[in-house]
Amino acid sequence: MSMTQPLPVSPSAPPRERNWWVYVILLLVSFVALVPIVWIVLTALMDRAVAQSVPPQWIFTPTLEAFETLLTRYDMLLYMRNSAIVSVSATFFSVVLGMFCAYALARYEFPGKNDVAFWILSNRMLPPVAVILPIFMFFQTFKLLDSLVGLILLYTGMQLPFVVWMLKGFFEDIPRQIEESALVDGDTWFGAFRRVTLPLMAPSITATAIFVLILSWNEYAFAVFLTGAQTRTLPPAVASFIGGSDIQWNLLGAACVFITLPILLFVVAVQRQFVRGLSMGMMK
Amino acid sequence: MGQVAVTDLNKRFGSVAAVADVNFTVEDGEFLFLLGPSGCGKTTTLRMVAGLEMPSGGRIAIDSRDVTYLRPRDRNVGMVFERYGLYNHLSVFENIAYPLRVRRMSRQEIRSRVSAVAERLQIADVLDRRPGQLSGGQAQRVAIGRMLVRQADVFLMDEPISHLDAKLRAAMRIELKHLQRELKATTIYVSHDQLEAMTMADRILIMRDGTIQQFDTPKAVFDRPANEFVATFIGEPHMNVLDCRLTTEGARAFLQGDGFRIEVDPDWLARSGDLQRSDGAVRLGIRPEHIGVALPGEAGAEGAVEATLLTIETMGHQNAFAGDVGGTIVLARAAAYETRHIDGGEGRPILFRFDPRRIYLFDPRDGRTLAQAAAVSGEGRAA
Repeated sequence: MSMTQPLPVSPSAPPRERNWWVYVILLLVSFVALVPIVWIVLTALMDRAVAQSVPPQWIFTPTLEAFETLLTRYDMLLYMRNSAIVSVSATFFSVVLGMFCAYALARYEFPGKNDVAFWILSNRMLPPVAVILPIFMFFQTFKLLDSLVGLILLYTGMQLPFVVWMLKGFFEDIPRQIEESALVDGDTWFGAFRRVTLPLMAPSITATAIFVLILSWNEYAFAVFLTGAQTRTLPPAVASFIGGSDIQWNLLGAACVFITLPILLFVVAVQRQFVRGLSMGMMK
Repeated sequence: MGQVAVTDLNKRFGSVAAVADVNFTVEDGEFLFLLGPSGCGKTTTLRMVAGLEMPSGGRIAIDSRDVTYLRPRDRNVGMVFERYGLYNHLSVFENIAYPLRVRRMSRQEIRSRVSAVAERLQIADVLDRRPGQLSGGQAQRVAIGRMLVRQADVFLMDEPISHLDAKLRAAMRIELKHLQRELKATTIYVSHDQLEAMTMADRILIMRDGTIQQFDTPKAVFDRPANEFVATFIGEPHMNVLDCRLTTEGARAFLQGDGFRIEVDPDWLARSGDLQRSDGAVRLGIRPEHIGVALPGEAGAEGAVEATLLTIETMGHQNAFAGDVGGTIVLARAAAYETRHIDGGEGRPILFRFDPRRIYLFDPRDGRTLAQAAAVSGEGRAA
């Protein structure tokens, strides 16, 4: 390209930057990330014959047949309800509990504080598979198998370390003086926490809650082992379409849309708050 | 309003004594300054009076109420923090109203009290804004407003204006002092800025390493410092201090140092009882404004100290001369019109005339003041 109008750049400036390769990389990454999603959505809209055809067809008449089958022949709505109950409750409990733990770790000096913090973190280091058997037996003993309460308890415990560590950092970013101000102004400890610290923490707590919600919503390993027909959550339900030699691709696609769509819509709705919460403390 | 009595106050952090055996009383309506370099324990002391830090020992009483271990809310003290004291998620109005809301006051009462305070502090037009939208001066007024809005027994201020720019700080100094006088509010103010302390305080408590160095009026700590630390901490530019020995020749007395000898009044030395115990080694202290400057050969130069001129700082009404006296840098300050003829010529010899009636003598071992300047020791308390 030839420039007719010279730009007001210094003659000794380095040559103009060429960034076209950035766009190439961006396009490549987006393509790799989006194609599977597009393909899942397309499959979900196929009828059974089209979905099974080899080679795959790109052009077809869309149908909601797969969704209809899922809703009528399989208890998809029940699973979704279970997933919603479990993840929302687990998120609520782990965030509320974790908030206080994080506050204590961020604000108070006590012996063994760092050990406690590390121990909490270490709970996340073990892969779920390693503890599935003991937890199964534990659930058996306490009659928690095949119950939503059991799953809620487990997820709450599982997400606690994550919540504590996320929020600990955010609490540490909130200057102590602001709470001390409230104390001198005549407030109680809890009053200062509720009226001053929590409102300032709201974006961070929201972001953490969203994270935990997604993690709980997608949890698979424990859900497979610890739930039964009535208490199944979405991830094992979706996976059950893969079993056997005859995979119904259109049903699987529709199930994937089922499990992804709510969380996707949710994240799109709260994304601004999410980003704000995560970047809090970074901008000072 | 109240009187604050602090008795044998101690605070240890692990093995470190942050505050050691501090005693003082702030009278009703008095403006007290806790002054000292950073880490001297002044802020810790203030925080213990506020109840944000629990003492390791001692007693704090407000109006003879023992508040030593009470929670902050039960003490009825107001406090302004250096920074971060405002609630950023609340409007200015709600910030000022906070102490009243906590006390469950009626809506009308809160409204009228907040607007009265806002009126007084000239922030009535920003009541709807958030703290983030305020200038530094306005934000600090809001913090002060929150302290004024309720009838606190004692006002506590922790370096409230030290992060403002110089011009605003000067204006706030006057305002704060005026406000304190008008409200007759017992106030404890923490600062590391001796200028703030000198201009605003009724009395100054100077601290260092957790202990009290001197507790007196601004004039007294300036004129009759208890030790070398106080003498050099108060005053800007700070006092020159030089090592020397006391010598006598018959009836005459001299201070003999590296590269200088100054004759002093033997009667003055005789009056200072402390000197008898010293072995003759002393540290001479003199403020820059009490050193005259002359060129060699000028009239009235006899008895002056020879120095090598290092720099001249022109400050408009005054000139500051830094000279090397036997390896020590000595600063002298003189009116511009008197020293107009000394211009430039760094490295040339110059004469410093120490005013013998303005000389202090300190103990080189513990810094104690051995002899107060003759020109001030006559007034008030004996040196």
